[in-house]
Amino acid sequence: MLTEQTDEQLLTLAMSGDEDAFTALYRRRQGPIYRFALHMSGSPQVAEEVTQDVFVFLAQRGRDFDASRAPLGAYLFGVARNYIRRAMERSFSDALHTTPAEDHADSLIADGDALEDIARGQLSSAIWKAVLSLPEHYREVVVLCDLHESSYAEAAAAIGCAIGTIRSRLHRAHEMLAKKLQSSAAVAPDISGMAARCPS
Amino acid sequence: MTCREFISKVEGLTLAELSSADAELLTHQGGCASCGALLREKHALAGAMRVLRSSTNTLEAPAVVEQNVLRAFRHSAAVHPTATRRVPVLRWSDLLGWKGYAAAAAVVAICLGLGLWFAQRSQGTSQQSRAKTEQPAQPDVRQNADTPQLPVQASLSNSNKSKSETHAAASQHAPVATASLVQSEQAQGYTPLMLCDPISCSGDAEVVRMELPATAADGSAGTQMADVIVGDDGLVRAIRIVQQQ
Repeated sequence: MLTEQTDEQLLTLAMSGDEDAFTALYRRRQGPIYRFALHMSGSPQVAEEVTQDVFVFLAQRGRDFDASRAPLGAYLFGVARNYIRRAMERSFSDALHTTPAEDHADSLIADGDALEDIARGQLSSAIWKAVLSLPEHYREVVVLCDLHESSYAEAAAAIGCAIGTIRSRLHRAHEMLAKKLQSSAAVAPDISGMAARCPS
Repeated sequence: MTCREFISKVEGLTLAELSSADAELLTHQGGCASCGALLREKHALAGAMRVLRSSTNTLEAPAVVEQNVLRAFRHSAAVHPTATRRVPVLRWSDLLGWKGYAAAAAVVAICLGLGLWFAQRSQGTSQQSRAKTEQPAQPDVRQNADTPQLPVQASLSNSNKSKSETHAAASQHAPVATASLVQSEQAQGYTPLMLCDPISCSGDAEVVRMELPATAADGSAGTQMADVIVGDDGLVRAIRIVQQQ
């Protein structure tokens, strides 16, 4: 069964011409890549474009993948990262600062209590805006580690830097997020008190 | 646990890992207000991230993207058939590995060897050519003492300049290395007048035919012809009495 194969095994089969294996690999990995691009850019158009570019690249250059260097998931995040950068340079004004809640208002407000949903939607919108306003090298570690729950090692493999760099960037990004959220009126009160720090 | 250790430990955890923070962290933050505030901030941030994650975790690329990707895959499979072998790629990291260092060392060793070989060969060639040029510079005084066979033909003018006892009778400009010349001329009847080693007697020298008072040679009256090797520093290296017929 293809669903039991690892990513690397599916890619090997796909590179030998097995379209079913490639389809299975795409369906397994397109969601994280799409959401990574969406969280990084804030633009569904950029996310679609990046997702397509990443898997077209994999179809054409998948033979160059070396499993001894990094897992396929981290490799795909690395490829996506490069395409996101290109896409955002190309359409910077369109991609950046787009209010995510406007694009995905329906998805951000889930079923259930209406007031709670609105609050959750506002919180999501506020945190996403804060993430999008971070510099790129801080934003990508927040998206990978906090939103995609990647470990430091996985994020380091995707970005291509040391684990210590990921750790320090994430710490700095959290400080910046705390300051941004502190000034946001739509954020929960306990988040607005995030500026306090230990004296020692 | 100190506050510094607490901060270091909290900052080492991802937001997802904070929810499973160990009891030591919870104990410290219970007794320290500022550390408790820090942990609450982190928890609040983790909660906000969780809300954003849960609100977007169902988003996926549209179906048209899958169609486009599969079309590109079919095209790529047609262009690169399955029998195509993977072309070995030479990466910079391979060059920087031990193979790269070994190859660089081999290239350097070969270059050094070739350089030494060419240097030795050119040195040997120059020595041979010097020997060829110096060989005829040795005058054969025993066979013909009055007309020494020097590389530069002597322009004898001793009759005009022999008024003075010590004036040169003939000047033959044959610039050659002094040390080697003196050593070679010792076999030709010259008497060294100073210790000549290759360092102190480096440079050119000239063979000058001079007219000396005969008393200097055999104590009799009159003059006596002599060949004198004079270095470019003006010092006489060696002398040879020319036997007059």
